[in-house]
Amino acid sequence: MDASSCVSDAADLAGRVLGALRGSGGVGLTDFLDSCADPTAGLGAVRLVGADVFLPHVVLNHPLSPQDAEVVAASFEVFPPVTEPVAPEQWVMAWHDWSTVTVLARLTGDVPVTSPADPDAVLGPAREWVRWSGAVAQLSASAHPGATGPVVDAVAAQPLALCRGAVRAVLRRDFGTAGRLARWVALVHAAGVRLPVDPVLLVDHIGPRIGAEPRRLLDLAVARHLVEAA
Amino acid sequence: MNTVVRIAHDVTAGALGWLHANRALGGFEDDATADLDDPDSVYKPVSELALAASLVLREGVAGTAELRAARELIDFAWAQLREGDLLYERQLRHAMLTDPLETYVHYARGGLRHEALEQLIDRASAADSLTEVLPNRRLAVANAHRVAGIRRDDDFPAMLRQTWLGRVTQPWAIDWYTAYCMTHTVFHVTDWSALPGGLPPDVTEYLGNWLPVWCDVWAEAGQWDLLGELLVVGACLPEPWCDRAAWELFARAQHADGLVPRDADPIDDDPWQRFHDHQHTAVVATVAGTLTVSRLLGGSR
Amino acid sequence: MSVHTLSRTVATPADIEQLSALVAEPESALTDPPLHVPNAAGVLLALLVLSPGTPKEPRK
Repeated sequence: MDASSCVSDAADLAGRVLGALRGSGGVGLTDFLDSCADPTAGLGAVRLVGADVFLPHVVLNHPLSPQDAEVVAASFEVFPPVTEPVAPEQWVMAWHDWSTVTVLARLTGDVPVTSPADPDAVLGPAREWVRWSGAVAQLSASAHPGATGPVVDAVAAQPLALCRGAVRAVLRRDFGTAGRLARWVALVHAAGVRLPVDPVLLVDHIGPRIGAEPRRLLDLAVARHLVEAA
Repeated sequence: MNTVVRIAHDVTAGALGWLHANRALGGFEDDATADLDDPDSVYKPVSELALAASLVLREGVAGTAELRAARELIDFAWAQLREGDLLYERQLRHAMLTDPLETYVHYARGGLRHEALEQLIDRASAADSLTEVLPNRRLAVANAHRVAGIRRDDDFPAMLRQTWLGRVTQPWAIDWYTAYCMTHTVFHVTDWSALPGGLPPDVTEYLGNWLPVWCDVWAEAGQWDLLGELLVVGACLPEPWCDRAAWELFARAQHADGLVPRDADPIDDDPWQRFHDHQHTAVVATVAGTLTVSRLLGGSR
Repeated sequence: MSVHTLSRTVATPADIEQLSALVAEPESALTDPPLHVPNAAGVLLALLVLSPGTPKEPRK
């Protein structure tokens, strides 16, 4: 698989999700896959975008088509999930995947899947907030409306570490990471947790600086939706 | 805690030693007059030498060699100012300047007095003859009066609220320049950690939350001078924040001869230029280390 | 192209590792830290705006 094809496919897919969120119908995963030069890279892109492919269904209550559900299922067949994560990347992948299959199960009425145990393995101690917030940013697809689970609970329990990560990203002018963390800040705020930063002002600051890359714009859209819904 | 004390002490000893060893490079080339062609080149650095030395003497936690070096530094700097006569002449000629007092206060703190200068400033204070100043500089002037014992009717809490820090705004709304304004606000409102109560609870909480972030960002950018000032701020809090990881980063930047580089730029080979480029950072390191050791050894204020 | 055809072609371990690396995207390297910006200083700009223009030589 060519990594850059996967990334550009993911950008394309994120663009379709954004379009669907703005009301232009469904994401159309089968159409998306047909448009990919390499279907393997395309399915990799589906896994990469993860739970975010379901955002129009979560936010706007669109029903999930069986075809779209099949594409997501196929992405797990073609890229089998790691059964016993060891390396940090594998832990990130495991929790990212769990988020995807959990939302899928909720939308199809299937049995929920057990989570990969303790989030400590992926996040590390919160006092090491640079590393901790880095992992939280990598799990940004888990920060969506209605999200629950051990990682969500762990993040909501550490508002200062989360906000430190976000402020650091903004000051470093790493607006990609800042946007991902802003989703979490917005989610935690919507859950009623008191934060040492103003989530609306944070999203307003990041917005014009995040650039035009679709996956980043999608992060911003989710963050904005969550702060506005709070 | 003990490890931080050791690290901070070693950084101080190195930086103070470097300042002391190189002090001749910091003197005026010839007799300086009240007009001072280039205040930034000697006058300001000489003032900063006295700041560092006066705080080492004030805290009294340094070893014998360091205390002697501090005494020699402040005496050297005082001699450069002709025992204060240069400051007096400058204040006479330029009535509205605040730098004569702001320079003088470090000597006064170290027990070196100039009666005529104090009378002049006292008279100006009684007449409320003060020029227009930036909020954090307004605090500098207020603290200088306070330390020198020259009466003024200053409302420190109100002055603090006029500063960026006093507004307690979003913590990413800061840049290099604003960060230095913030550090100086803390220095003056707490009189270099002597009065930590000068920081109200909301400001203290704010600094506790965000100092670690600012330290991380500017350390990553190799801005050692600013990192040092942030470490001074940490030592000025009611519950001092003297983080081991931040201190280790700062100590690692220090050279074997005690020089602490201002930033990540290449260091000049010319001894005079080298000293002038990095003198401020050695002053900052001396102050940061001295106040950190003092606070951690249980100097309760 | 039908999804059913693809579902039998499992990706290589290297591809799976590559995908994990993409998901676990690291933060960006520090390229644009908040440094001193001399020409952006507010005071300097204010002076430029307020100072009069240079007088021109009168036409002969």
